[in-house]
Amino acid sequence: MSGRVAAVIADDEPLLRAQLRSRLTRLWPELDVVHEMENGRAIEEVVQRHAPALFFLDIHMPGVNGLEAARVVGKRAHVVFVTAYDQYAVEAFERGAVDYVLKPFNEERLAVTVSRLKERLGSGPADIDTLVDSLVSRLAPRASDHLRWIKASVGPNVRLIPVEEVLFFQSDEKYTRVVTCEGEALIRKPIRELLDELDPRRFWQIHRATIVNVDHIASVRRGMKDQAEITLRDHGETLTVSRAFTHLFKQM
Amino acid sequence: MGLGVGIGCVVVAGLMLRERVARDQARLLQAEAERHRLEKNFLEARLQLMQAQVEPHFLFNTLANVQHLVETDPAAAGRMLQSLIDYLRAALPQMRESTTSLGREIDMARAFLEINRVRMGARLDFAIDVPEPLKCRPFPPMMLISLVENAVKHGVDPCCECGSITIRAAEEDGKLKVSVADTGEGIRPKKGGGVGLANIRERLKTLYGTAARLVLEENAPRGVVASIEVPASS
Repeated sequence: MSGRVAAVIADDEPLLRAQLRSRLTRLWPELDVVHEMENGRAIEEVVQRHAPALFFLDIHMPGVNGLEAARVVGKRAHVVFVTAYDQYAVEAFERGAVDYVLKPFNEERLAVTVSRLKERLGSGPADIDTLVDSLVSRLAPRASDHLRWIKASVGPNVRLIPVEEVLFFQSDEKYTRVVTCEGEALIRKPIRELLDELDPRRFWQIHRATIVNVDHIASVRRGMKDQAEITLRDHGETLTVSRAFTHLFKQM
Repeated sequence: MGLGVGIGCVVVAGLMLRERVARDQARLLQAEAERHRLEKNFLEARLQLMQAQVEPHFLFNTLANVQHLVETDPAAAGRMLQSLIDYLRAALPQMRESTTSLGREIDMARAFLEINRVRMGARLDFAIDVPEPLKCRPFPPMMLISLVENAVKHGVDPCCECGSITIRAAEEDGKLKVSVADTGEGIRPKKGGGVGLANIRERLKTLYGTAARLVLEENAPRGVVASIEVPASS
C-alpha cells in the first residue's frame, strides 16, 4: 500500500481520542486522522465528506454508539472497534473478521492491528452486519415494552415511582390512586390504559377499578357473594377481587 | 326450652372460642412468616452490598486515561491516580466497612466524580454542598455512590450535551437528607435501571424500617433528583 490512508476516530472521551491518535500516527506514519468525533451522530456526513478508508469506533458512546455507527458505515470503510472491556464483545470479535483494540492500549497489540489493517486495505471491507447484529442484541438488551416508572405529581414536584414499588392502582373518579408502602399519589392515566402498559406477569386486574401488584400480596381469602379479599404486605388496606376475576386465584 | 337455650349458648361459645384460637394461630403464623421474610431480606441486602462490584469498564477506561496523561501531563496523571485510589479504597468490597460517615461517603463520591470529569471533559460538571458538621454523621455505605453512579450513567452520560451533578445534605425535622441532582436525560417511563435503587430501598428498610426512605423526583428544567432520608442522629 502506498500513499496516505485517511482515518476517523470516534470516542466520547477526549483524552482517549488523543491517545489513540498519537499512538496510531507513531506506528503508522502514512495514516492521517482526518477527523475526530465524540459520538456517532454525524457519521453519515463524515463518511460523505471525508470518505475515510478506516474508522476507529468506540463501542460505548452517547447518542449513536459505535455499533449503530458501524451499521451506517456499512461496506464504505473498514471498521475497527475500540472497547475498554466487554467479555461478549471480545468473544464476538475473536470469532469474526473484524478488528478491535482494547483500552488501555497495548503498543504491541496495536502494532498487530495496524499490520493486519494494512493488508486488509487492499481488499474491500468485510460484511459486518451479522456481527453487529449479534453484538447489539448482547450488549444492549431491547428496552422493555412495559411501563417501568410512574410519574406522579406530589405537591409541586413530579415524583418518579418504580413500578415494583407500587402495591396497587385504583381508580378514584377522575384520577387513579397509585399506592406504595410509603404513601400514595394521584395520576390521570386511567386503569384501562395502565393495563395495556404494565407487565401482565406482575400486575393483575382484580376488579373493574383495581390493579394489584401480585408481588405484594400477603393473602387471598374467600369473601361474600363469590368475591375474594386480598391483604397486602406492609399495608393495611384490603382489596376486593370481584367475581369476574376470582378465577385468577383458584387453587391449582 | 331453657335447657335448649343453655346448650345453644355453650355450643356458640365453643364455636367462637375455636374460631378465636384459629385466628390467633393464623396471626402467629403470619407474624412468624413476616419475621422470616425480614431476616431473609436482611441477608440478601448484606449479600448485595458485598457483591457490589467496581465495574471493569469504568476501571479500564480510567486507566487508559491515566496512561495517556502519564505521557502528556504527569501532574494530572498523578491527581487522577489519587482519585482512583480514593475511590477504590472505599469501593472494593474487601475494603468496605459496615458503618461509615457521611463525610467518607462524600469523599468517595467526589473521587468518582473527579475521575469522570477528566474522562468526560467539558461534558460533566459537579458541585458538593454539604455543611461541615454533617460530615461526621453516620450514614449507610455505598448508597450515595450508587445514586451518583446513576446520575452519571443514566443522567449525564447518555446526553450528548453537558450536564451537572450536585450533591447536597441538610438536616430537617429530625431527618438527615442527602440528595443527588443531575441535569441529564431524565427518566423515560419505559427505561429500566432500577435494580440499584431497589437495593437501596431494601437496605434502608432493613436498617431503619419506615423511618428512612428513598425518593426520586424530576429535576427542573430537566434531569432527576434522588434523595435518601435517614433519621438524624448526631
